[in-house]
Amino acid sequence: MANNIANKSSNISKVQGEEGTSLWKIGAKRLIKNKLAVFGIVVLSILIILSVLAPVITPYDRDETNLTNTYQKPSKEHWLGTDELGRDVFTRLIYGGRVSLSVGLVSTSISVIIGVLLGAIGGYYGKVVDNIIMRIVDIFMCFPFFIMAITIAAILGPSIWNVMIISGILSWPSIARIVRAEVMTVKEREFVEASKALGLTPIEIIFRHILPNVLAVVIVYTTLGIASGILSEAGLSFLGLGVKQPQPSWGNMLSAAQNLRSLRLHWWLWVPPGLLVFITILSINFLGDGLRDALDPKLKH
Amino acid sequence: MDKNILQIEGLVTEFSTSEGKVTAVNNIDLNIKKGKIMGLVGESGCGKSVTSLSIMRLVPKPYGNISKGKILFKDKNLLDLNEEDMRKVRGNDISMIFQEPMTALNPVFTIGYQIGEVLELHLGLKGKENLNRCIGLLEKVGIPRPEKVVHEYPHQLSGGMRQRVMIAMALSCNPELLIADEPTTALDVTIQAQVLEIMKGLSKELNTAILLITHDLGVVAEMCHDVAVMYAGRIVEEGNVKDIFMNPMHYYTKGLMASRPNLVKKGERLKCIPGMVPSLHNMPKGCAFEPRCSNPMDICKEKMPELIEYENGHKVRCWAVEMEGNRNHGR
Repeated sequence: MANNIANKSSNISKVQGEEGTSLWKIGAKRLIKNKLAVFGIVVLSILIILSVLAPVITPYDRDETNLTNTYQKPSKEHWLGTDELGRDVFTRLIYGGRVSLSVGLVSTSISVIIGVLLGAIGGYYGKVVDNIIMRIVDIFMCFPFFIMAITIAAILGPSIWNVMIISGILSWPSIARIVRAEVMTVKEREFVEASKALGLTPIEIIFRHILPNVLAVVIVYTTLGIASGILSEAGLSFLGLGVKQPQPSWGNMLSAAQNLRSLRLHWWLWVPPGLLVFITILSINFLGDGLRDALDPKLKH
Repeated sequence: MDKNILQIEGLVTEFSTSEGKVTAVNNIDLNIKKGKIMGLVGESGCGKSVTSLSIMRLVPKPYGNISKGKILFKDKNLLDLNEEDMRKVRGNDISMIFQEPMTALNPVFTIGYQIGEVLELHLGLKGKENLNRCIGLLEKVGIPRPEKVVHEYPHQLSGGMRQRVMIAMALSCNPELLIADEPTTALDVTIQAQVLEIMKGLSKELNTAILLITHDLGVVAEMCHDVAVMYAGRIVEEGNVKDIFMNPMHYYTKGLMASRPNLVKKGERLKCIPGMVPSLHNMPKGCAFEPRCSNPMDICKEKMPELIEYENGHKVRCWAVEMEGNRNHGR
């Protein structure tokens, strides 16, 4: 047999390149077939590129004021005009995209890490552990989001980091619930018992066998969570409790344009940030829905 | 006399349910000899699977509990081990094959990853060495083009192939005991025969003892050296396969033998044992099989008979047999 194995090993290198079709590859194929999801991916990619490359794309400085040049209409020099301090709106818009997208990402990462960890532990161990975790979840779910966020922001002071932490900490319970439910069904499957019979520790079983089976759900939730993170940043900034001026964000740009004169005369101050929030959320939701369909093992074409 | 690899002495496994405590396995003694195949037969719910889970100490906690007995594996009581040491035994010294090959493999990992995981865990094999060993194992269980299959996912394989992968996984660390819990129930007959053939061959080659749990008497006759028949949590008859099949003594075993379909002529009705297994909540005081027995006696209602050895290791738990045996003895 040893000889046989040696012979085989020479073939392996050839074969290694060609892997089995994993669920992820199938999922990616399905995703590309979904037009709305592709639209979402394209729009999001453009937005990400714009905000990452902001300094290269625009010739203006983010906070550069020019009081002789206030409230200019969109023109060749200023694509989306200027605001009350003569700052270029397009420049501020793409810099604001950095804030909004990173708030969405970071706050969702916080909530996903806490939620997945606690949900998986609760779902796997059950009993007392589960009970304690789920009661904490219940408590967190009782908090009215905006009132809590406003209170905390008022105490800690408005800043981009506070927004990330607040929205991360207040939104983990829902993912913990989803993950817990999924883990509870997956752990009853026979391969989990088989892994036990093969001598794996509970931690290995949770992280190496159960969580990969739950990943699809987590990914879908994460994309949708980013959308709500962006929305809550916009909301808090609009209320003056999020990102502080002069640092721009889509929310505080809207809030700056919140007066009758600007609303009537200076549409370029409030339409673009509003539209961008709208388009971003829409794209993320399209992508999230696409991912859900693509990664759903029950749907087979 | 061969050496016993596994000795179960007076094993009692209980489950607490909403209606009170239930004894799923009641005072079982079982010896499995090195390199031999032991069959464990019985109806659904008679405690076969619980026995196997008890050996692995995987009885679902906290509802289930092994309350008495000893499980000696190579003269070491598994019930005394701590969780850490027990994990080293699982998969390494004793491994298990499950009933449902469709769900016993993790759908999101390749076959190679899943077998490799066990090899890494117990033998510390890594990288290429690990992969080669996986391919060797797959080849051993008769999987065609193993060097491709290692990179495939469970959904790309048929049920028979998956069960073979399970066997490869179970045998990956050359265990001394393999517990196969109805390994072929989910497979069709031709594949069933192949899988059994592979198991039998490997048992001989690697000198692995197998505890084969099944309710298929044909499989038992084909595979096993020894058989234990379980009824309602107890062993009612035990012996080598020839004795059990040629000379069944317990009325339950007799009934089982008579209800095999191949003994019935065309046009005749299939024989069966009347009645149902008694509920574990409501066990009869005497012999558990008495309500269904074709030869019930007064004493059967009153007292549980003992498992008594007759000739050549053939043990039976039956009053009728015991009395007859005494009479013969008296003469």
